[in-house]
Amino acid sequence: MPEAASLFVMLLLPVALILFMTRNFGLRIRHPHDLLEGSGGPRFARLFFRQLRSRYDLLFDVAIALALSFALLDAGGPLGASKAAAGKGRAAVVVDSSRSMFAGEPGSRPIDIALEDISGNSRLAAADRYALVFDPVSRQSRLLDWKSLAKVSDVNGGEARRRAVDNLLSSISLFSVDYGALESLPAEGYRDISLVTDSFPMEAEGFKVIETGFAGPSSRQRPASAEGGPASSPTVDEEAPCIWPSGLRIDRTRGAWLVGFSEGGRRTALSVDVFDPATGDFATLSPTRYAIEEGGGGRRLIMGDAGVYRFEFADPQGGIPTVFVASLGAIDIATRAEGDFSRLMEEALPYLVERPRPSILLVDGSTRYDGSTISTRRISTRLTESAPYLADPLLLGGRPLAAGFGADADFEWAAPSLANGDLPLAYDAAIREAAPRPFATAFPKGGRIRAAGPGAWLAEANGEIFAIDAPAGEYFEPAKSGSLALRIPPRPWLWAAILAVLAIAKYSVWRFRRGPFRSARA
Amino acid sequence: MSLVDPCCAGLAKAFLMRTRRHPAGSKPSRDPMFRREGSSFDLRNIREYYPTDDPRRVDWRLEARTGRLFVKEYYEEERDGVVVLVDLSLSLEALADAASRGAGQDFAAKAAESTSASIAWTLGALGEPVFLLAFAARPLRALEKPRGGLGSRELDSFFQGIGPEERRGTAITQAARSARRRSRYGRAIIVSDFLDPNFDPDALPFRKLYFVRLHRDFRRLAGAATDIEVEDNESGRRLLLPWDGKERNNYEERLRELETSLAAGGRRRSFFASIGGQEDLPAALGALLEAFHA
Repeated sequence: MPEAASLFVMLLLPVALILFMTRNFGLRIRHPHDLLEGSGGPRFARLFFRQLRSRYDLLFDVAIALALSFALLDAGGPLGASKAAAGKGRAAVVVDSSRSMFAGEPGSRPIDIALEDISGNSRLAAADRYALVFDPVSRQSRLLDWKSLAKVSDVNGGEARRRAVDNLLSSISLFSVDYGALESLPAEGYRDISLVTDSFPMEAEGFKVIETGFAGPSSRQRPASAEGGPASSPTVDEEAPCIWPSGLRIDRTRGAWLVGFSEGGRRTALSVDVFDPATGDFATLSPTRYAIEEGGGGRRLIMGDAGVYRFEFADPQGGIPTVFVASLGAIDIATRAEGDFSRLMEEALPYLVERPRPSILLVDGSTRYDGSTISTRRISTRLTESAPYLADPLLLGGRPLAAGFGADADFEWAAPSLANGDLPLAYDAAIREAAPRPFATAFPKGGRIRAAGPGAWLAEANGEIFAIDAPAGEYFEPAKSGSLALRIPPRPWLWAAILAVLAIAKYSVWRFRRGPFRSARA
Repeated sequence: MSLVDPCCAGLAKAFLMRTRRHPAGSKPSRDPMFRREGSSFDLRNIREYYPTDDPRRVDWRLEARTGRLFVKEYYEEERDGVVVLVDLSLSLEALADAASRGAGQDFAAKAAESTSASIAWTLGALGEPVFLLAFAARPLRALEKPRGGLGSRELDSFFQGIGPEERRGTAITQAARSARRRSRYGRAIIVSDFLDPNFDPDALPFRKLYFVRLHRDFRRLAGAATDIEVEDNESGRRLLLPWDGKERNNYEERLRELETSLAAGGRRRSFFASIGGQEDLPAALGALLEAFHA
């Protein structure tokens, strides 16, 4: 309201200016009052109604300024966002249903603590309850009605809580959620919105956040101000396993992939599965085909063969396992060079292995790399007379390299470019960019998605299999950055209608007052 | 510049033909020899009766003493004079304020003085006895010319030296009674805006009334404005007027009531003319003289 008041005052300034102008520069006449005064009624009433009639337009202007100030605030006006005002409208409580909420052993998981907190708070227990989940079909986060998960109307009962958590575990993706899905709640009339999560990585504006505490060795202490948390509320297990891939690279001396994990909390059993394209499912990988060694912060696996793997860390307390998937390509990047210059570049980069069916094709000429062909990527080069531009600094780590404008080819070089010893760096960066990646953190558009475990997915798109893991924030408590503000959705039609009514009323009154003048003159 | 309007000389000359009087200031008007015979009580001559004389005029007392028939001749009656009442209240300044933006500024600045001076001068030039009385809330000063012939300088000096404090308020009836008492003339020309709440034409002690209203139409002053600040000259009060249909109707109704009452003149049928600016003066003065000599 202070924003509305200040905006209202600002919008009143022109009205005050008009009043000042009319008061000081309006028509003044010296004339006896005898024929002008007195139209019946008490003197005060005459004076009051006369002032009212005289200043009716200012009253309309004030009303319009008031409506404008609210309309501007409603639309997220210049003085800041209108926050979803607490205590007005319906109440909703949203339970974060991402992977991290289910970490730990049953009973002390953040999801259990969250539901305990909600049941112990009358305001939260009476509010409409939603689960914030990631929908792999639409590839978007959305809100699920908790009643449909619990399948009972009384969602606060112990049996209902257990059933809802089981249904969540069995039906949802446990992928990282987008808190922006909360923005749909104000549009549905919710004004008192509470989010129950383990650790909210942003500043909340327009809604309340109740943090249960992150389950893992890096977790912060549970905030003391957690609303409504009963005194006997369980606390999160800080010794819960916390695992995340810490390295995924090719060890050329061993001729194998090194898959490193950062592990916190208790050590758990690890099993490795390999994806069989023939059956479309994972099969247990023989221990002879990989080796495990102790790394700096956790275990490290040496994988000799290319393939799509699943690494499953069992929960010692019977909780959900920690699962990662990775698509490990060939150890050597298979290339084929066509043309003298491309062959020269291939020889300059020793980790490239020429094969008849390569994944990367280096060509001389103007055949531009087409990103749609996943199996064989082309990197084309053309030599020209002049190179008046600079190559993309990102490719060369900021080093300058003269280049032409490669409209048809990926690279266009001239004599100054060829004289530069940093030229192979551009190919090195382009080849590494074009090489298959072990895993992705976002779902590709199109294609088919299948679950590979809690928080791990395989997506088939363009003939390629993408391994997708939940982001690191599901395993390690992220630092706070940014903010999320829920705004009451603007209602332009409503404010436009109000302003139109005020304008028509003002015009009508003006016409009504002007009418007798014209008729009398006529 | 004289208060008497230049049109007055022409009007006086034109109307002189209609009166049997000699022009004021001329030798015949001063010499009793040129005084005409009439029916007043002023004895002019006693002569022998002629058969053509009216037998009613025979002086029978003289016949008793002398045994002869004599008749008495009298001078004509002195004509009834006219009182010119001029309202000098501050409310008349509205005319000046209104006209100060256009032509006629000199006239508008002293509209009441100029109008009344023109009337008095013209009547005086026609030989009418004139009693000029300036008033506001009370009678301010008076000037009488029993035989007409008011000079323009005399008129100019008459209106000089009246301060604004003396000019607050309007009491027409009181001024009329005072003038009647002092002059005994039966006709009165009242030059005013008639914005006197106690004004009643029936209460005026004159046989014949001539109203000359000085005014400025507020509708013309307001123009297209919708909000007007109106300052009353006399009270100094300011009125913020929403000049809309309601106020306009009120104004028109009150104006109509005032003008109707002035035109009716109460129980007597009176003359009424309205002057809004210098351009209205010749026509109004001509109409007044027509009514005066009707």
